[in-house]
Parts: sequence; structure tokens; C-alpha cells
Amino acid sequence: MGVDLIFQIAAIGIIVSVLNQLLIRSGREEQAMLTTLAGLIVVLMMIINQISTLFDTIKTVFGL
Amino acid sequence: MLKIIGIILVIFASSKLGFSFASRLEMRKISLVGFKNAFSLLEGEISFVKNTPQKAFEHISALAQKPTDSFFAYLSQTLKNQRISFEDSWQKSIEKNKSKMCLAEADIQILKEFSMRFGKSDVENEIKNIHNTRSAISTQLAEAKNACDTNKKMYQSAGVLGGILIAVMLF
Repeated sequence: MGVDLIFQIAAIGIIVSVLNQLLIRSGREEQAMLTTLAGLIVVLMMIINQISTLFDTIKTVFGL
Repeated sequence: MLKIIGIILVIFASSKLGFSFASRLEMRKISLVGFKNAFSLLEGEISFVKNTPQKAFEHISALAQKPTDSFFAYLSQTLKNQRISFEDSWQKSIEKNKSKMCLAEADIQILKEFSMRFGKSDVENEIKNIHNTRSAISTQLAEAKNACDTNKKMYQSAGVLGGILIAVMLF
């Protein structure tokens, strides 16, 4: 797993939180929530393969 | 190298989109101020100078600021054609210039209603019609100023941040 992924997730998190604050201050709370949820879904999709690999590794290590 | 160019292009395009939305809000505000001033000039033209509508709108187009000057210039040009009614000329001018002036549906409706009443009664009632339209435009202008103050910075920032977000996700 490259370090780039971590930086990518961190950058997405920062930008989504700034967008969230921006939308809340403009009185668009629902759109802020949708933006946060969308960011969360995007990040989960990015790391789902890594989580799958993690579970496979755990199974291999413990012989499950 | 190509990656960097791609990132710059994505961020630039998204920022331009955000700034474009913000400038539409600003343009609506400027157009409504222009119309408000133009109606004040029209009142003067009708009550003191007593010009024909075609000459009055020609004078107004010379004095009006952008983008309303092109609206009144087109209107005075179409009014030179005697076969077309004032209402039709006004509405044609609205259709031609509405995208440039970035007016909302409510603003266009107010202007169309003015054209339906204009030129059908005496000077006193024409002045009342102008005052009525000007106060309706003032209400819309207050709403436009509020929308511009609330949303302009948001669109600009969201454009830039959205571009950066897409660039980070894609690259």
C-alpha cells in the first residue's frame, strides 16, 4: 500500500470539511450533509480493496 | 508533466464554473439597478420632455449603463418599425437580451407586465405605472442583493475547492 493513498484520503478529508463549513455558513445544511456523505462514500470506495486485502491477510496469518 | 497540466486544467475549469455562477448573480443585481435608473429617466422623459416612446428610449439607451443600454438600444430600433406594437417590441427586446442581463423569471414577468400597461392611458397613469414597476423592481433588487451577498463567495470557493477535490480523486 502506497503512502500516496493516505495523502489522497487526507486531502479529500480536508477539502470536504472546508466545503462542509462553507455550505453550512451559506445556510445550506442539507447540501453540506450530502457533500460530507459523498466524500465519505468516495473514501470508502478507495479503501475497500485495502480492507479486503487486510481481511485476507488476517485469514492467512491465523489460518482461518 | 501531463498529469500536472491535467490537474491545472481541471482546477481552472471548475473555478471558472464557480466564478461564472457568481458573476451571474452580480450581473442580475447590476441589470436591476440599471432598469430602476432607466425607469426614473423614463418618468422624466414622459412628464417633462414629453418625447415619443421611441425617442425617449433612444435617450435612455445613451444614458443607461451596461447591460441595460443594449436592451433599450434594441427597443428603440424595433420601435422605429411602425408596424410592430410597443408590447411586442419590448418583449422581443427582453427575449434577445435576457441571457446577457441574467434576469430571473420574476424580473422578466415584472418587465412584461409593464409593457402590457404602457402607452394605453394618460401621462398621470403612465407615471403611476412606472412607479409601480419601479417599486416591484426595488423588491427584486433587494432579493438579488441578498442572494448575491450570501451566495457569491460560496460559488467562487466551491468552484475552486471542487476542482481541487476532483483533481485529488482523479490523480
